Amino acid sequence: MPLEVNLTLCLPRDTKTVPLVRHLIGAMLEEFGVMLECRGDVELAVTEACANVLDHSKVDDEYEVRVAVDPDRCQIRVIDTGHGFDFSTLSEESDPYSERGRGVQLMRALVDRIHFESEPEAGTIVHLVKDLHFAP
Amino acid sequence: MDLGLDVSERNGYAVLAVSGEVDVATVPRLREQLHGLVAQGSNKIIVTRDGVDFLDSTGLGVLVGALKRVRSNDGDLFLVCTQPRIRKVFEVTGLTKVFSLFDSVDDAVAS
Repeated sequence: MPLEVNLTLCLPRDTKTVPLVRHLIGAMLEEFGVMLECRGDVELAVTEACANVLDHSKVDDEYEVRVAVDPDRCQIRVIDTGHGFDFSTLSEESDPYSERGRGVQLMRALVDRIHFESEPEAGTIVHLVKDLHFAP
Repeated sequence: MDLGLDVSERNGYAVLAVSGEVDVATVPRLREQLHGLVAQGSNKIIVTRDGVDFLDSTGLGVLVGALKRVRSNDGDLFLVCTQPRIRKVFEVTGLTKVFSLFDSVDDAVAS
């Protein structure tokens, strides 16, 4: 895949935007010939990152998803202007009977690199990097 | 993509066939359906997920909540799922140790 593509989405804080983001990124990776399992990992990881925004931002906030795809990897930044979140408080394994708290666990398992930046009242950036595998 | 929910009965089990995508946008309908089944007295529930194209952590949370509700009524909730993509979500989160997963409704009923 010789192309390098950058895409920026500016979105309202609405649950309907989560499948929209997932479908757009999935379609782009499919167009580039990325393997199904790899696409599925990216789609789920970005879904969790966007759902996290809905959890931790204010009702009227907007958020941004920046996608950069090159022949080696897909980098996604999900950026919100909410009240921030202390990711260091999250444990690697959640209570198996908890009804919440598996989003970060899934993101960590599905992408190759993940980085969180968050400051109180200054929003959060979730940076996901997935090495891409292409169909032969 | 919309969420499909279809309820039937099989040997005393309420069978809920879920299709489409389960995520933060559609999960309220799944939660409402499962709560409704429990409220109607169903404490043996089988959820079939072979028609599910996508499942996120909010969907997992609703299933765990329903599992706790039926087990508190001496019942159980079984999952039928053969799709590798969906099974992977349960494996990554360790929920294969919490739920009983089956390859078919017949296997779940016979367990």
